[in-house]
Amino acid sequence: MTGPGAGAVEAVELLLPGNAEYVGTARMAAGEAAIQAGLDHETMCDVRLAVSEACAHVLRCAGGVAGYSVRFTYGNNALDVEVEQTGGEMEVGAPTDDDSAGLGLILIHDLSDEFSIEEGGRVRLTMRFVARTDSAGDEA
Amino acid sequence: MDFAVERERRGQVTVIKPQGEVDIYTAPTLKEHIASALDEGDPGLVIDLSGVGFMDSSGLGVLVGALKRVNDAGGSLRLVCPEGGVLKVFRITGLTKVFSIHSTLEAAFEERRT
Repeated sequence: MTGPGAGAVEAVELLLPGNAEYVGTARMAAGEAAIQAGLDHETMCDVRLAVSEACAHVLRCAGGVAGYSVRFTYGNNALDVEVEQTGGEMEVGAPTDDDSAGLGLILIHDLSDEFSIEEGGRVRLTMRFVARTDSAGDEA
Repeated sequence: MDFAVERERRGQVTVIKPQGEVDIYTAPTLKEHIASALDEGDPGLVIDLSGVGFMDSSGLGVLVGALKRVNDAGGSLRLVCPEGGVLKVFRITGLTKVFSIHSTLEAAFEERRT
């Protein structure tokens, strides 16, 4: 498969139930979207990780959210990802019982070229990944 | 997505080997296996991540929790994590400075003897 032509932008959106089991589905779609966007293998792995973290963040904050959406928009050598809670409002910042608090957001911030998060009412995370155009490290 | 955890006793050490992808869905299973080993009073724990193709912060959280318990009990925890995407997660979060990480299971046991 090939990605959209120059200037073309395409979008794919997943609507997932608020169940941790489906984070793997979002990851698979993220990998495919990264390929469609023309990102290299390493960046594709970064996208999968960042999307997994974003979904987990929504689920952790939600404490029983009805569902969430994952939207991939790709074209012009970039991939934009938006992960957003759907359904009713939830209690933001609910305490978690694990020791991973904050690590996921550190990872997303490091892996993506742009990252923002909104937690007023509905949780929404947006990320941008840009295809590398330099040839550093490539053989001549 | 298949996820499994193998557990093996080697002398005084328990080796826990998760296989598959560790995320918010599968991390609780890994946590149960680690807790079970710690509840049995194993003084040494090696968690072999060489069969893990993907791990996010949910897995890190489980490992950090395990390290806290092991330290409180005066035991030891070593990780096996070859070069790749999983090790990158430790590097980005700075946890390579917190955990004892080895590239092979043999290397993890070798350090126990030194």
